[in-house]
Amino acid sequence: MAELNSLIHQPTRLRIMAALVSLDEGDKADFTFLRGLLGLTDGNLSVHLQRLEEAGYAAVEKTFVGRRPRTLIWAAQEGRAAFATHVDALERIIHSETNNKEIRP
Amino acid sequence: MEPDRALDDLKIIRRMMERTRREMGGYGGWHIMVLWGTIWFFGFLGTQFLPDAILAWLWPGLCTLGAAVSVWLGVRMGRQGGVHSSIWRLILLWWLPLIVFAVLVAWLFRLNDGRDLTLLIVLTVAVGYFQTGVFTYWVISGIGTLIAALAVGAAVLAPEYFFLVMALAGGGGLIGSGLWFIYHKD
Repeated sequence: MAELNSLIHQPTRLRIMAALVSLDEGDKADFTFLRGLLGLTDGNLSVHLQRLEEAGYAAVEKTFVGRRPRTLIWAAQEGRAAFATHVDALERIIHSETNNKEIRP
Repeated sequence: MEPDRALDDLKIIRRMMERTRREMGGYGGWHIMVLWGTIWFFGFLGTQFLPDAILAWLWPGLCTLGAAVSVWLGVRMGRQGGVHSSIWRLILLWWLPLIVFAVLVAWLFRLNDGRDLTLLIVLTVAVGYFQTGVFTYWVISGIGTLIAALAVGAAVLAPEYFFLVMALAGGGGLIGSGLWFIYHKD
């Protein structure tokens, strides 16, 4: 049975992963785009991304466009799989409750 | 974990995913839709009411302005970041042969009549929107289908008001759809 993932379960990381898995495979989100989308500060987003990167759930690439640094982020395969398992676990919790209500007299 | 909390998490995930996909397009895509809707609005409104001498300048002027602003928006998108997607290159590759096809049809079939040319351009844009929507958001395919239906309907049922219908419903529709996507974030 699928279990909740404690790393993804954290509210901010849940939103980050939801945003990243929305991208098609091969697509990469700019750090500033993600920051604006989630309404986070640079530091806050960086900390959570680091946790996700350490777990192998997100990948980060730092490049330069001219002289300007650019950070691109995307969901790694492992992250997509972990997120799908987490969503599956959430759905099972809801369905099990529904089933319990149906069984109860 | 309580089922209510699980349900809340699933709602958050769904909202976040929807918003991400919408914002991806919002990084320029929806603004370009509003821009060309505005050009259609003033262009077709002018075509309906203004003399040919002015129209000879109106459309080239509007299209040049539209192309320039589109390029500016594209450059701005590149600087601001957003999502680096391979799909938009494929979509661009689809639009280019479509435009070449439309130009060839106009040239080979000697389309000189303003309404015939307009119908060809509008239907070409509608096909382009439909195809873009297949790869991105189905609602864009829906907009393409509506534009095509509107153009054919106006050409057949109300030919004398064809340009007016294209200005109000076609141009207005593009402006409205673009604005809705820009401001309807959640």
